[in-house]
Amino acid sequence: MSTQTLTSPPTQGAKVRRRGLPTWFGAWEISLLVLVVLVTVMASISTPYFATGSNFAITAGGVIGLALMVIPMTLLMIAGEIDLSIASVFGLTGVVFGLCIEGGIPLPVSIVIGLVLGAVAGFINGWLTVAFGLPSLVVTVGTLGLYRGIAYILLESRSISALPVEFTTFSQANIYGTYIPYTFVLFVLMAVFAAVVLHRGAFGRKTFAVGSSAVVSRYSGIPVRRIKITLFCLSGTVAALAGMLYAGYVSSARANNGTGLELSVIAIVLIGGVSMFGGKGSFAGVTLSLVLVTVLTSWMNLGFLPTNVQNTVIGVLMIAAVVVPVVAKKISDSRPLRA
Amino acid sequence: MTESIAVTGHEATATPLVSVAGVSKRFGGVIAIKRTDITLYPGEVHALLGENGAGKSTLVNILAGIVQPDAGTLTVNGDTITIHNPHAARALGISVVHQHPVVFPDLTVAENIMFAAAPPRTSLHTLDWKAVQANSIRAMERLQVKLDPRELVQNLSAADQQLLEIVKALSDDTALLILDEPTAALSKHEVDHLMEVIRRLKSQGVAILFVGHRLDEVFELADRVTVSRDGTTIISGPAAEFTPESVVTHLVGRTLESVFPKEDVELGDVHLEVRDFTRKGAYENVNFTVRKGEILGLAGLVGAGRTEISRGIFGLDPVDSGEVLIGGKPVRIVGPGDAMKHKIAYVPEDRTREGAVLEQSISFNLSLAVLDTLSSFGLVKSKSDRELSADYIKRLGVRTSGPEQLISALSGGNQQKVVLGKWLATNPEILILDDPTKGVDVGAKSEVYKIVGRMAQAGLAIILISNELEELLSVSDRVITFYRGAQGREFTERPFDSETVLASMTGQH
Repeated sequence: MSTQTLTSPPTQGAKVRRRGLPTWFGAWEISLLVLVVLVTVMASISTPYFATGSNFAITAGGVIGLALMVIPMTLLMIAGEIDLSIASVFGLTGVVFGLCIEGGIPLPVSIVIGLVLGAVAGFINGWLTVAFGLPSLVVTVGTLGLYRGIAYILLESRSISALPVEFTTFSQANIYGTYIPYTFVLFVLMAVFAAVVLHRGAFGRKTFAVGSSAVVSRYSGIPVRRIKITLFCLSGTVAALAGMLYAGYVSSARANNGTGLELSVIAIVLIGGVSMFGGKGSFAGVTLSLVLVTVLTSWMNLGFLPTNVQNTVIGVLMIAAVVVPVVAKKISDSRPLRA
Repeated sequence: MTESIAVTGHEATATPLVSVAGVSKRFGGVIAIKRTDITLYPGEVHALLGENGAGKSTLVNILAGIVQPDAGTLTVNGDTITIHNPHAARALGISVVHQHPVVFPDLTVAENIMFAAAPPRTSLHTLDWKAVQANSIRAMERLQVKLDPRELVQNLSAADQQLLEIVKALSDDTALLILDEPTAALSKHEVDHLMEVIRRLKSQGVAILFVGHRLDEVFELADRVTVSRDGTTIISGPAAEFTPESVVTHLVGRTLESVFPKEDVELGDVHLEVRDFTRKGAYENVNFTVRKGEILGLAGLVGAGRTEISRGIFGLDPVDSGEVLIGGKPVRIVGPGDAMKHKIAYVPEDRTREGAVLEQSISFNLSLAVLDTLSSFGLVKSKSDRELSADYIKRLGVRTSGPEQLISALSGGNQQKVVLGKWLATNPEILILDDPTKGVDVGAKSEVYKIVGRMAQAGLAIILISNELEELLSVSDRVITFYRGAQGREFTERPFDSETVLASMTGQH
């Protein structure tokens, strides 16, 4: 165990530390790691196209929008909230970004406008949730429709393809001489930062506290509302970034970009072991879950399995992720108490 | 002290209605009761007294058929029997009124009474509303309880809900009525009414088992008293043979002074002052001061406004008018964060809901209120974090397998020590304790108050709220009473007279 480094185990994790396992890498994470290795080996054996640099580049580049949004969703769900509107923010900011470019606004300013728009969209979600004490599930089902609706009003069924070449290059290209997309590097940097904040930072520990018990947190002087609004803003901002990068990746800003993506994001977070009810989860688990789902999807793509079959497989995985811990807990609870 | 049980005072000729002999029950590794004996005669009021964890509820649940004993015998009307379920208990004439009213708040009085038995039907098998109404009036008349059958139960006072519970519990063939802590939330006047009802039942030959720990009304009413401690009956005898002092000694197994020691503390300057504190509907015109090193006890019944006042000081609820002064200067507190900036700490009433994050570890809970001071550049310093946990676990004597143990795995007393530790880590100057020993066994109570005593010696200004009057009077330097949101009398001279304090907190001046 490498103590005193940023990756040393936090003391606050949701589980009891057993047999030297750090709290952010428990039984669930090990199961996921085993699955990832298993699926990767099987995919590599079954098709020669899987374990190739170009497949990595294509897969990593294609999944980046989803992967980015997994980061804030993990924090938000650990805090006991959810944001169903991310894919709509993703679509809307792509559209607004496209319109800005079309209207001749310089690229950096357009990017900033997109990010601010995402932050505002997230703030509205957070404010409605906190100020009226509403379930975020309900609030963001509403804004899911609202934000997507605005995207359609702005662009209708048009698409904007004339995006600046430096932007589409960043979204699509790999680092020179490698198969690593620029966006992948961006994701890794953001994920590492988020993992450190969540598992080592005061903010992360407050996030766990808010998700475990908002009442105790408030009584302990933790600014529960501010933390929740911050996380919603983060969720909106990252969805905006993902939406713009995706528009660049496909060279097309359309109102229907990313429709339904929120469900994939939530599925990955749940498969990663984050509790539906907040207070439990680890970034390692979610990252492994993201890798697992991506590898499975890539394998199924190479095997030319239809999307419906792919969705079925992911659905089964997600149900397993929700059911297995409950069953495991029942089994361990039914053991007789020791004196 | 002798562990043998002295049963005296009843004529050998009377046949016991219910007799419990050598009953034991364990839950997992925890022994709830062991070798418990109690005998109940028709037409007697029998008081079963014990601290939290003495095994009272387990005994009640055995008699109610909810729990089955592991050993021992139950005799009802001379027959040794097993009470398999609550229905069987009711068939034997045993009715139980549980501590917290189990009523349907959105239904009327008559509907609530209806559900106690099979609802009457018309010939068309629809509900016979006339009969529902008439039955409820008849049931209430038996006890001379006058409630409007059409009133929604949520509009009733706590006392009336309690009476409704008794009406529901009683049937025509009730032989034994068990009342579990029936007076905990009642005012003096309401208790008097309840006592009248109990007297009436007694004259009808019903045996009444009165379970509780408040002593005053017991001596007014009980024929016999049984005291249990740590799951065993300690002594049983006619009420006349007991005094309040002797009961307390039996309850806790030692004298009050040894359980709640009072440290000698040199009092400092006035540190906290509350002026004209008002929140409509909760409390009005509250004025008091607390000096450094002083423990100010707030006495009152549940609902007297004491918790609301402390929530107001800590910024959890808005205050309509009035101000808080610290060190003579008015301060503005609109949230717990502000209160903490002014070095106020608040150990809330409901430990499991408000005090501790149950699904997290001890160290997580201990650091919760000081995360920012434990961090540099937003990252929690793991060394300081570990030292903090180790330090408070040691200083407060938390019995645990280690700082990473889940707090939910600890006993109530040890959980409360962690919650206290969380606040002591903030280096407070003002400490508000709201019922800090609720649901905690006697040993842990004593430890909690020893910690509080050390804090007073360290110069903290302490406000203590407790529903256990004996405790409050033992550890406080000064006591102020509250009744229905109004400030009552102030008692400054130790030792306090519990009779006078009780009279004041029940609205009699």
